[in-house]
Amino acid sequence: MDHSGTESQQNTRQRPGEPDAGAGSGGSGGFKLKFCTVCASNNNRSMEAHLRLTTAPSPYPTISFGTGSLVRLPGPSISQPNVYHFNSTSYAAMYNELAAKDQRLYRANGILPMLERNKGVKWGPERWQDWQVGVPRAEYKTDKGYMGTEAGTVDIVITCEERCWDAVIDDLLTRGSPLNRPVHVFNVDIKDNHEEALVGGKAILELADALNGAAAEEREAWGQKTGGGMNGFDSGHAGARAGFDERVPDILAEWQEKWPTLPALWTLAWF
Amino acid sequence: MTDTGPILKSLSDARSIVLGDPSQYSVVVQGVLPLIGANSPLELRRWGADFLAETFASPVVSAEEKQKLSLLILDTLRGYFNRKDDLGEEDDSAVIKSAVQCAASIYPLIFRHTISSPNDSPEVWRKMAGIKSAILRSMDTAAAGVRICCVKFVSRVVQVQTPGLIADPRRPEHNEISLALVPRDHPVLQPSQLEAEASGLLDRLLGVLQDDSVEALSVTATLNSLSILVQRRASIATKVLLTVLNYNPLRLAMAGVAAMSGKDRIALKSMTRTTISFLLNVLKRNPNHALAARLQQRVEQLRHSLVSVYADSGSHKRPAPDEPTDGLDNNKRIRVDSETTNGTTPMQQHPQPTVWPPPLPPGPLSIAQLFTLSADRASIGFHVEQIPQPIVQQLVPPLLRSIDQKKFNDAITAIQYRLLSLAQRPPVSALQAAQAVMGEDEDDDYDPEAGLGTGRDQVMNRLDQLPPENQVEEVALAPFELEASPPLNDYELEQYGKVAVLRVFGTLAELDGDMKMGRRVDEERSFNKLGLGGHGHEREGWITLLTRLATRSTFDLDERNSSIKQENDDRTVTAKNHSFSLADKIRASLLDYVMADFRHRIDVAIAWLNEEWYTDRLAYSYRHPESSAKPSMTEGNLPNYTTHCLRTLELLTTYLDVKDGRYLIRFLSEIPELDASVLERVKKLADDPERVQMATQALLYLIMLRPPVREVCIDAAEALWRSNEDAKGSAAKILAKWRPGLLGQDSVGGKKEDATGMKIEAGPSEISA
Repeated sequence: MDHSGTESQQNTRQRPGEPDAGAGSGGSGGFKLKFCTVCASNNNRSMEAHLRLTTAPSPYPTISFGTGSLVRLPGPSISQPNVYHFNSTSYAAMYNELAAKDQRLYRANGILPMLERNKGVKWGPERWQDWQVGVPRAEYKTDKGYMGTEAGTVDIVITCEERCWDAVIDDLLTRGSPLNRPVHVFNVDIKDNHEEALVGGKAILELADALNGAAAEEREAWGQKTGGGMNGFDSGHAGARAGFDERVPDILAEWQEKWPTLPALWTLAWF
Repeated sequence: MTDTGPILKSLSDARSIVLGDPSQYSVVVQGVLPLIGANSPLELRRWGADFLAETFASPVVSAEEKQKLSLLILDTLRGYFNRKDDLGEEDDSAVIKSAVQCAASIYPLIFRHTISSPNDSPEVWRKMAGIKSAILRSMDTAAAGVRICCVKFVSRVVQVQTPGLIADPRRPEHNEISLALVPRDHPVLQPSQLEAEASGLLDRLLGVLQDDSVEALSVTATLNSLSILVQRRASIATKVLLTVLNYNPLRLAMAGVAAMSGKDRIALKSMTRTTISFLLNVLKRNPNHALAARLQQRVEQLRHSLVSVYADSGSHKRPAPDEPTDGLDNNKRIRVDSETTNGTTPMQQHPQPTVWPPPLPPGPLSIAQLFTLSADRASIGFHVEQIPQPIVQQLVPPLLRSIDQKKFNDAITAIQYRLLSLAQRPPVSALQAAQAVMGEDEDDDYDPEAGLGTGRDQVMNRLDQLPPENQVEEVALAPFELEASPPLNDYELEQYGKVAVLRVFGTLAELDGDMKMGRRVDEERSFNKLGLGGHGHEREGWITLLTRLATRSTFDLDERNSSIKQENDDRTVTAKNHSFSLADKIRASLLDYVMADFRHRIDVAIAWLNEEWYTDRLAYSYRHPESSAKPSMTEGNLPNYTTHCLRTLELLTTYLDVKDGRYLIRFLSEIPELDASVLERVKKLADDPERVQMATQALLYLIMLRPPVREVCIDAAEALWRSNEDAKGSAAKILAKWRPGLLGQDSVGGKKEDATGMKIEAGPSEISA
């Protein structure tokens, strides 16, 4: 142990900037659930939510994906979309291409500002079906919300459209859950336009806060219990006693009441 | 509590290393184990359990590596589960949750290790079994988060302990870990026991669904963990699928949507959608699944129920998209139908046409036209009498009550106005009326004939108008008499007769074709149900008709042209005196028909001969009303029957093959009467050495089962025995039983055993006789 300990010490010295972001590590107050946002093209809704989750006062570890076969962005007409490949095209490349094509049009319809925002969040759109769950994501170090997602797993998936939720569930069922790791998959139905994406991003952040709050409470309640001896068992309040996973439907229902225009759906799936 | 901060820091650094370089896992895992054991502070245990779960789930670590490492961590894992026994307190649910995940990951690895190295495995397997029983114990009582991980663990155990596919028996390390890898004589693992355990655990898993649980967390966790079992374990896939098919995720909605809380609404929708996803996933992976139709049907059903459950709660429905999703999905745009608005026709929305009241057409009018204020062609054309009276009685009172007084007044005014304007029209001449009617009057809902006759009255005396139907009587037609056709000469008669017979048999051939095609004969089409009570096939009815046409229809037509023809009159002469007789023509055709395929049509022959016999008997009793004696073949009182029976049998015997004994037996046993002349034909059969057997069998059958002719038959057998060398043996067998004295006289009793053999054979017949 000493050996590996020194090794990690050395390692820390080599990378002093990296803060403590181990799986479930840190004080119970700093506990963070890991999130994943999903939409069709990994451009508008999932990226807005990605940005919101990673720039919140207490940012969350976040990754994001699209479930479509290709990245599709509106073109000059409805029948001429701009189509790109997932995983191999960067937001910057798309930005440059569209800016060269018709700067005025793409600025007016909000595509260029959107890509500009996305450029600041991560390198390029990723496809859900190509995601190898559990493979370390070292090459995504520069992405916003990388801290905590380095092991390539998340606790919560939030999709932005029912067919994305269907695609995610279908994909997880097909994968056969080799990791034995539970994951809550939510859908929050958001219309695919910039305004709704903004509203949806805010709503998703609220949901994330509520979920994370419950999860942190569960962990803390146990800490109090063990700290306060056997009597401490009763001191944690009822909500915390119930446990995080159990409370998810309640949290979602509460959230839904506040956001009735964003119909929600949820399931407990497995990675 | 010790300050865990620095230790945690170094632990997370160690984790960073292995995430960057998976080859370091074995070193790091061994290094951290002493720090994260059951006696360590909570924070370290949490970190440790998470780290172990992550390590054994990681796809970048090879299975061999994991298998080696898994042996090392067993004690640590067991420590987490046994904390209550060891230290008097249960462990944190977060720790247990991760520990159960880790156990699910290593279970197959330990299983494979136990298979491959049975010598050091009893201890290892015992530890794993201990962990398993700890997990199973806590499955029902633990916190929900732990419980769902237990569900996953159990599903993994079921997967391991159920036989799977062996892809390549030579390379066991490449095969999926399953019960199929365990040799039958393994010292530690007993396949049957393990499989039984798996079966029990599967039942436990499915219990949640069988109880129609409303707890969304366990239901969705179970459904999502069952998928792999359906995919990989064919032996239990059907059971799982049937359980999911029978699962009703909509139980929450039983009390009505209004009674559901927000949580219930979400739970219901989530459980239903998860079920749908599960079923669709199975269907997608194997569209030709044996249960595919049921899967599809259940999916549709669930979708439908989900929609109907939420139909009245508008707030939860997704509003129609106001712009195309993705910017290009045409299907998602709202389709605006200019023709219809909320399902009503424009006429229903605007009940009054622009010109009110609608102008009357020029020319003569019917009352209906006069009172029709609607311009809707559909409602004009509708005949109210089509509605059954009880419904009218129900409809009228509420309709009367709901009439808008203003509309009603308007309608009265409109009719008044029409009447006035009609009165002001110049009188229409009959000629004009006729022209108007014959001309281009498209919407003529009245009878042109009526218009022709009464057009003038209609206009002049409107209120006396009568509906067209009543006026038909005025044009009464005299009965029309067809001119009698010239009498047919004999030649024509014969030709027409032949055509008639041809057509009758043509129909029979068609019906035979229908039978062969297996088509259901439409009973309503069958007009002839003679002697069948309407239950038979049309073919049978047709045959009955034919046989009766042959036997009863035409006899004595020519003879006695009396006003009342008596059925079954003297018919002995019919066929002979005339060049053509329809009955004989039909008989000949019937015979041809039977012989064309006697194996299938023997029943027709029998039916026909029965008819002949019956008719002959009736004819006899009609001719000799005073006689109480019954006519019989031997006395020559059944002329038609005798002729045709012998003729049929003669023809039949020429066709009978060695194997056709049963047709002969059937024929002989079912014809209504037989005598020596019939048996003469049977004896003749025995002239052919190959058919001796057939003939004697037929005789034996008749002797045994047709007592009235027994004596004649025995005589026939005796004749055979005496005259036919080939038939001697088999005839002797018959005689041994039925006329034993004869054999005794003649032979030297050498047939003893035959005689006894016969006795046994004949046993049943004695009873039946």
